[in-house]
Amino acid sequence: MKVELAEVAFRYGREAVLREVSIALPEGGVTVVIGPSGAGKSTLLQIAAGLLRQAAGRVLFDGRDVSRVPAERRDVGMVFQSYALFPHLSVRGNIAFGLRTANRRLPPREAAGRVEELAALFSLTPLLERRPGELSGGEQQRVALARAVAPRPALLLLDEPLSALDAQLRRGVRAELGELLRRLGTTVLYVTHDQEEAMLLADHLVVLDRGRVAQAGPPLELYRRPASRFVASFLGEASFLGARALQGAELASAPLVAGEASAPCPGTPPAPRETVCRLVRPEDVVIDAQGTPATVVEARGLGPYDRVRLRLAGGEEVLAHLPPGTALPPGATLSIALKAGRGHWLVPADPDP
Amino acid sequence: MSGDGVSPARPAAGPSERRFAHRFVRRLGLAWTGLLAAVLVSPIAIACFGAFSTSEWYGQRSEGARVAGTGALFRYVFDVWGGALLHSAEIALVVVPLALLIGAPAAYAFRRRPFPGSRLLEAAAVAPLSVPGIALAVSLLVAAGGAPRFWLLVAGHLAYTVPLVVKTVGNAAGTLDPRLEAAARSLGASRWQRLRRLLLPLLAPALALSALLVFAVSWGEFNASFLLATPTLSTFPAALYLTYTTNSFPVGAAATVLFLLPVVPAMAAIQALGGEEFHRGMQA
Repeated sequence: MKVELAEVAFRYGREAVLREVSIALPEGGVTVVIGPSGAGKSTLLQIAAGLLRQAAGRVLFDGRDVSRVPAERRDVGMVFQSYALFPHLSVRGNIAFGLRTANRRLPPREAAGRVEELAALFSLTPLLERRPGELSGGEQQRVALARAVAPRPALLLLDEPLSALDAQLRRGVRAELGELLRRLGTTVLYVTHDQEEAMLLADHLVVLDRGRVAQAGPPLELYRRPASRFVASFLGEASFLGARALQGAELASAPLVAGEASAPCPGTPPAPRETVCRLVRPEDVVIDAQGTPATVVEARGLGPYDRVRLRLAGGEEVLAHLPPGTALPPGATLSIALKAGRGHWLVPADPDP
Repeated sequence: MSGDGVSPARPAAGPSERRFAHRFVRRLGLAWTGLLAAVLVSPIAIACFGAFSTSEWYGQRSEGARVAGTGALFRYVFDVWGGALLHSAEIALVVVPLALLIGAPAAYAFRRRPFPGSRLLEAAAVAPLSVPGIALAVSLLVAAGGAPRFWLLVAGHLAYTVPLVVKTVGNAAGTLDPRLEAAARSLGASRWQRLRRLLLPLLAPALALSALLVFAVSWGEFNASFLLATPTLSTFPAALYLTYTTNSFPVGAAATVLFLLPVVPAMAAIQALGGEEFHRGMQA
């Protein structure tokens, strides 16, 4: 199903939680909404589910405005942050709950079959008679997902489904979950504040900041070419180099790319006096004899790479992930360069006031 | 002199002293509980003794030889006070479902769908507990003296029992995760299905507990009932009072035993359920 949120606004008391948020979810794909806490992610999800009514804007399912359709008739499945499993029902009862409701009434035999099918898919068969209180966090998470998808909803909503798991378990479940979501083929709206989770699961990534869409697009596109410093730093480690606009819509920063004195401005040239900056991702920095000299400020080996803070001749600092073993004592000098094609220009440096 | 300046001049209360204090407090508590139990249980014990050992030894009054033997004693009590017993049972039978029907939805609304003034309303719903029975009875008579007396008695009992339902069910509803209802909604459950498949099962222990409390209070209510009772429509506790003042000891004892018959299992069930509720509340 094609789902679209059009200029959705919501306020809690006098505080605007969402301001004209528009998101188009790709059909059958996973859309991840990421943002810091208080960005309005959960509110957005509840509006899509019909559990909250937006103050303005529309929620469109296949072009039809469902703003006035209550949650119980919206054909939407939801996985809650702490799962909200029914404590008085067995795993079987929980999964079967949505198969015998006013909205969808399967014949008993068909419902039982569907429960068995989902139990097999989510490796829950041996746990069917257990109560939620007797399950581990990972098992509860699978029950919550099985319960939500059992009635074959047209839209599946997940509200930070992994945040209740401990870090080690989360890593394993994350990969598993991505595979399951793709196999289900349902249109998915997934909310998280974890950037690794977002990059791993998203077909379409939406960064939400203080109730506004900061940027939306394919996850790697957002990572490489963020629209603002906020998006850049939210999706990964970043250094920002001061830059300036030259004559003829050319931009220049500290020379990190060999032979590059300046680069043509991508998009609209900056207005006079507007600040410009250049994003440097730490993995884009390489050691290059023809590069720019830099002094090591601090270096630490992290295993897969060394995390090195470098100072350029002009005093600006750059963070670099260098091959393990290259960590040098503070004060050592290196010659570094930026990989070709990297070093995204931010014009203006920060569009958010 | 040590340089750190923390060497204690005198050791603090050692573990043995603390253990002694702990034991002392526990013994005091046990003694008090024992005393209370003795004071509460001894009248029951005496009543049972009186009802089941009707010797000629007891001074006989108007009942005369008719109460010789336990069987005859209970038959006599039934003859005289059977009507009151029946009325009390009828009233309790009406009051229990009515109190639940009024109190439970109100409690749920106060806790889960708060509206402006709902806290004030909740306080008002509990307020009758602090109104003396006589005052309540008089105000009922003034307000609706012409109403059938049976329903006035029911109204008086509701005033004292609805607050118990509001408190018990309200506490249980307050501990429910609101996301459970949201989950049921997103799974397509209508209002009625959410009530039947989610709320009622989850609140069942609290509902059962409040039903038992309502029964116990209605069955034992004396103050308001005594004033609202008429010669032809009396409740059993009012009758008990009359037996104590007019009949011989064995008759009063037998009536007391009849009164306690449904109360003891109800109280035991309240204890059992209340314990479980409490336990669940601690886990949540």
